[in-house]
This record gives sequence, structure tokens and C-alpha cells, in this order.
Amino acid sequence: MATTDIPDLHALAARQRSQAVAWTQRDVWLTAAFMTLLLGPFGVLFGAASLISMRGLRRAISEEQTEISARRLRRGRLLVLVGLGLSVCLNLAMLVRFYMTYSAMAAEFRPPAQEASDGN
Amino acid sequence: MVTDAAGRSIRPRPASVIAVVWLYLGGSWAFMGIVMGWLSTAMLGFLHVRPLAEVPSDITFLWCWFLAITAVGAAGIRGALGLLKLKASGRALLEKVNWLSAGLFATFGFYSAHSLLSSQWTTDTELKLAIYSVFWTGISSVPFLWMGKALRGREVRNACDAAHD
Repeated sequence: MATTDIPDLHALAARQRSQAVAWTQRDVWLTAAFMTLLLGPFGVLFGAASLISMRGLRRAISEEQTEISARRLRRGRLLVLVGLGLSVCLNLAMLVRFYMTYSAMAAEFRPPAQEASDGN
Repeated sequence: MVTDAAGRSIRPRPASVIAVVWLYLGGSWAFMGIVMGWLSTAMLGFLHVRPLAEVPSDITFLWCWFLAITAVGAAGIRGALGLLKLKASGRALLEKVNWLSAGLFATFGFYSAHSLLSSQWTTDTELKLAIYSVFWTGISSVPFLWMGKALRGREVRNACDAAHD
């Protein structure tokens, strides 16, 4: 007698859902890595490292290699967060320096002396 | 909201990308706007205490500009956080923020061109700079127009509607 395999629809739906979540996570962290690239020297360093570490994520997700994709995503996310933290600190330091330089210049400023009248 | 077993949300790609872009942009704009707006205010006060022969009118424009940038950045963060949760209000707010940003860039370009061309005799260099400023601010506003259009699109709207049905 021929037997028919009845697919487990719940398991199929769960698998599709977990793959959709992986795609969403990939979208979020790839965008974050790209935006981190624009945050200055630390951003370039860590953003590029993050993009490199997430290479091959598309294939891993579409081939349902869950462990590999999770590991790559975790590594990329860590690099993005470290780069973001360092960039924010560096930009804050630069801003404080900018403010101190210009406030010192403003404190020393004297308006130009008016020309002496020649009495006419 | 559409989630997996672990409670992690599933969003359409444009919603994720635009929300993350605005979390970065909104943070940096709000922060820069607060600091530079405060500096512009300090400069206005400084000019009031020690008046120069001529108060540069650009400082008043810059003050308004940084105030607008701060407001847009803060609204952008709020909208992005809403969009990450696929809230319709977040999507609508972020869509408005994108149109407003494109408008701000255009205003800046036209204001610069107006400042360059408002003298009685305009040199060729000033004319070139005016054209460049309008051109480059126009180019800079294109991503905001794209994001506004994507947020208005059916994919993101349907996802937001379905998420909280």
C-alpha cells in the first residue's frame, strides 16, 4: 500500500517564521553596520569589520544553516555596538574640544577700537 | 505584531532599514542641533553684550536652522522607535519627518543661493556657488524623498495595519 507523507504544517510554519526573523535581523544589523561606517575613524574600522564578519549571511540564511547565521549575526552585532560606543565617545570628546577652543577665543575677543576723531 | 516563538518581530525590509537609518540620523541631528543651537544662542547673546558694527544676519538663520534640525531629529527617533514596533503612528510620523527633512535641505540650498545672489553685482563665482548649493542640497534630499515614498508604500502600511489588528 502506498503511503503518503503528511507534512507537519506547524513545524513548516515555525521554520519559515524563524527564517523571516533571521532576514529581518540581517536587514537591521547590515544597515546599522553601514551607518556606523559614517561615524568617523572608529566607525569606519568597526563598521567595515562588522560588514566583513557578516559576509555569507545571505547564503547561510537561505540554506537554513541556523547556527552559522546566528554566529555571524552575533559577531557583526557585537562589532557594530563596540564601534558605535567608541564613535560616540570620540565625537563627544571632539565636541568638548571644539567648544573649549571657541569659548576661549570668544573670551579674548575685543571689538575693534573706533577711529579717533580728528576734531573736524 | 507578527513575531516568532521567541517574541522577536518580523518587519518588511524597508521598515527595518528606514527605522535603523533614522535612529542614527535622529540621534546625531538632535545632539548636533542642541549643541550648535546653544552655541548660536550664546553667540547672539555675546553680540548683544558687545555689539559689533554689523550683526551677521546668518546667525539668526542658523539658530532657526539648528532648532529645526533638533526638532526633526527628536521626531525621527520617536517615529523610528514606533516603526520598529510596526506602529501606524510611528510610520505616519516618520513619513512626515522625511518630507520635512527634504524640505529643510531645499530651504538651506535656496537660502544659500539667495544670500549669494542678493548683492547688487553678482560675480560668476557667486553664481556658480549658488547653482552648486541648490544642486547638492537637491541631491541630498533624494534619500529622504525615497524613504518617505517607501513608508507611504503598500508593503509597510499593510504590515503596520496587520501588526496591531
